[in-house]
This record gives sequence, structure tokens and C-alpha cells, in this order.
Amino acid sequence: MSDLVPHESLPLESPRRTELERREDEREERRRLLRQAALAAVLVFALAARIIFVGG
Amino acid sequence: MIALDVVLLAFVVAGTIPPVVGVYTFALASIHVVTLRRETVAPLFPRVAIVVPAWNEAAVLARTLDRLAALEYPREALRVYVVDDASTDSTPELLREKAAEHPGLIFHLRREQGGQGKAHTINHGLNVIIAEGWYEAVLIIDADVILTVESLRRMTRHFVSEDVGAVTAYIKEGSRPENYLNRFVAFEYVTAQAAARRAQNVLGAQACLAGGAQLLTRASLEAVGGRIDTSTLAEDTATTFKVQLSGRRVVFDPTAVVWAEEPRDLGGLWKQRLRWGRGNVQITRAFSHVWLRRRNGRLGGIGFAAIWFSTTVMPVFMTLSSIGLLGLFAVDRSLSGHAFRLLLGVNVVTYLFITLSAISIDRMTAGRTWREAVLFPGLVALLFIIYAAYPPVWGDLRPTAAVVTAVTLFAYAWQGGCMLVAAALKRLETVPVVRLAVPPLLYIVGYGPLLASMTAAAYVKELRGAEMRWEKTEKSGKIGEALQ
Repeated sequence: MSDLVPHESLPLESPRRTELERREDEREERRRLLRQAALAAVLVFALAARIIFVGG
Repeated sequence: MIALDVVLLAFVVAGTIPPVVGVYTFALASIHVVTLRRETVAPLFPRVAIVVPAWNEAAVLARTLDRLAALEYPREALRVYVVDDASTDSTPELLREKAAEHPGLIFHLRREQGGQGKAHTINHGLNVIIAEGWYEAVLIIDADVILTVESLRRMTRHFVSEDVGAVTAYIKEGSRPENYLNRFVAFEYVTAQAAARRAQNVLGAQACLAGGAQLLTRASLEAVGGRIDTSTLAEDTATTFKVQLSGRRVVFDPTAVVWAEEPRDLGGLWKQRLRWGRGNVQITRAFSHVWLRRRNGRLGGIGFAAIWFSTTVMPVFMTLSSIGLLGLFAVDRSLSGHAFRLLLGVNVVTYLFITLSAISIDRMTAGRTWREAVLFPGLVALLFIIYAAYPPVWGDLRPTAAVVTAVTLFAYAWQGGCMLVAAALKRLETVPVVRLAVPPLLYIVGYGPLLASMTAAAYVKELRGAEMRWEKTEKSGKIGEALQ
């Protein structure tokens, strides 16, 4: 199934449209997960730097 | 016998529970994609009866109904039942007009004896719907909400999984023009809905079907007795628990967006949150057999209890934290300093993680509420956090011992005392001229402490056995056109 088909052009009842929307939702959630992971990593480094350079 | 300093230290540690659970919630929310991949969805358009309880809603109802008529949903599978709870404004005339404009779609149900509250009004509509027997699912919404066109079909698609009994939408604050309080609420909803409900999807147990837009299957409605609980002020939460205890799942769909208008002043917010807070206390008691008992499924899990109680017991944790620090200051000043640094250390990490995560989870809302996000705990708490994060930021200050003692005692007392100051802002709002200072003061004191103070006030009302009155939140219909 190609993601290149704009799902807005498909009828509401189309399983393909629902599947494409779902994939889009999944992609967005995956991007959120990556942002969260990056954020957590930055915070861990910042915390480590804080402890090393400023003290506990 | 346990030493006093150990007890006091435990009190301080209790203050770290809500922020730590906050991090846990956001960590769970971040892996929502895993749950989403397991979820089965398919286009499904059951016959949906929409129940709209309405008491004097002429200012908002026309737009709500127009939006319902514009939903991306087969017209023949949709009916809207507006239950007019003996309105005394032009609601009845408006409804007659709308019913004529949308024949077969909008139905006006009139209660001549009104004023019993929202749950009774909804039940009047449910009685009619059940008697007709046409419906396959029921959507209960507030009279002022604006459903985005795809929201309903995005909710119904979950019913392809037979174990899903109810779906809740993502309610977003939509007041336009917005004021400072609307922006705080908008950011709060990112944490309390976009994040917390994603986390609850991952846990497999939802705390609350949003009262503004909750969709139940016919089987679920029948399982809860065909009516909404009228014995609590949190009728939507009671429904959520009952549906899940009947063996069905409740799902949050973050892509089903519904806009709502929230209070524009502290008085209105206080009334609304007092009702929610009292409702949560009632639910905690009514479902006491559920907590931490695995036979109740995910609802009885530790994770769900942690999320529920970290919010509902927040004022207790904050107060204990202050008592612990002040007590330690009296018995062992050095230990109190260590305990405070521990508390601040946890606060720094959790504040940064929660705030930045919330901004990342709904960037559209974050774009307009980043100031409120940063100042959610208040400027005073933020200064403590900055100090803990990087003490040299204050430069080479050499305060006297008396100043150090005063600032220390203030910092310790602030952990719980901020709730009292936040509560005082509600009173200030009623004083002419002085009320102008309330918005900047809220940024200084913090919206978080305000939420905790409203929860504490709810405890007091419940303990006093105050009368259970449904105090309606006033709505003006000022939801931005751009949101539609």
C-alpha cells in the first residue's frame, strides 16, 4: 500500500484511508518517542555535567 | 521507636512523589506508539446518538449544533438529542429553529422540571434513546464544545475491537481571544490529557472519559445500567470505572480533537475544579475496592494507582514536605539542608523533563503557552529550581546569617504554603483595582499550586459534607473561528 496516495481523496469508508491515517498517526508518535529519547539523553548529560563541574 | 528525624525525612521524600510520578507518566506517554501499533482500527460507522445536556446555552449551542451537522460521518447514522433542562433563556426557540433546519438530525427534548444537574439531564436523554432502540453507540458531549470534523469517525474506528467499550477525545482549550488563565488551562490539558491519557492507554486503564466528549457502545451503556451515575459530581469518571470493571477497555484517541471553552477567571475555575476535586474524592471512596487489587485488571494496577493518587493526594504531599523541612530545621538544621537539596534536585530534573516533554507532545499548544509552561510551578519555585540547577547563578552574594535563616524558612514553608497564597488570589480577584494584580501574581505563585489548593478545598468541602450542587461553568461562546 503506497503512502503517496493523499488519503483525503479516498472515501471515508475506505479501509485504505483509515490505514493511511493510522500510519500517519504512528509516524507522529514515533517522532514524539525520538524527541523524548533525545530530551532524556540531553538531561542525563546535563545532570552529569552539573554534578561533575558544580558538585552534588 | 522510629526517630523523629527519620519520620520528618520521610515527609520530605513524600514531596518528591508527584514529580517522580509525573516523569513516569511522560515516560509512558512517550512509548504510546507501541500501544498504537497493537490497536486495531478500521472504518466503522455505527448509529450514534449524540446527547447534549443544555441549560441556558443559547450563547453557545447554535455553533455546537452546526459543527455536529458538519461532521465527517454518514448523516443517516447520526442523531443529536439536545436535552433542554428547563432553560429560561432562548435555548428552546433556538432548538426549534435548529431542529427545523436539520430535520431527522436534531431533536429537542424538553425537561419541564430542571435544575437537578447534568447527570440527571443526560439520563433524561438516555431514557429516550434507549426506549427508541435506534442507537448502536452514544456520544455524550457538553453544549459548548466544538468537535473537529473527523473527531467522531476517529473515535468510532476503535469499536472494530470488540473489547473496546468507550473512547474519549482530546479536549483542548479553545477560547479566543484567550487570556492568561486560558493559556494556563491549555498547557494543563497537554499534561493532563495529551500526556496522562496516552500514558493510561499504555497502562490499559483510563481514569476518565472526558465529560466534554465521551463515546460509549450500546453494550457499555447497558453494562452501566443504561444511565449516568447521579450520586457523584464526577459522573464521567464513575462511568469510566464502571465500563472498565465490566471487562471492557476505554481508549483515548489523541487525534480526535474537541475544542472547549474554559473559565476566564479564577472564580469560575475554582467552581469547576471544586466540583471535579470533590468528584474525585467521591470516586476514590466509592471505588475503594478497586485500588491496588489485580483482580480488577489494569484498573487495580500499581501504575494506575500511582497516577491517580499523585494527583488527588498532591496537597497532602506538598504539606508533608513543608512540615518535614520545617521540623528538620528545628531538630537538625544540617539534615534539613540536605533534605531540601534532595527535594530541589528531584524538582530540577522532573521540572525540565516534564515541561520540555509537554512542549514536545503538543507543539501547536506549546507555541502559544510556552510562558505558562515555564512558569507553571510559579516564579518563586522556579527561582529555587534555578538555584538548585546552578548555584553560582546568584553570583558572590554574602547574605547575613539572619537573611539565610529567613530565606531558608520561607523556602521550606513555601512547599505547602504556596497553596494558601494561591487560594488567596481567588479572593483578591473580587477586589476592585487589586484584581488587576492577580494575573502577574498567578505567574509568581504558580498555576500548579493553584490546582493543588483547589484540590485541598475540595477535601474540606467533602469532609464537611457540603451539599452536592451542580454549579454550571458559565460559557460565552468565545471559541475561535480558526479552530473550526
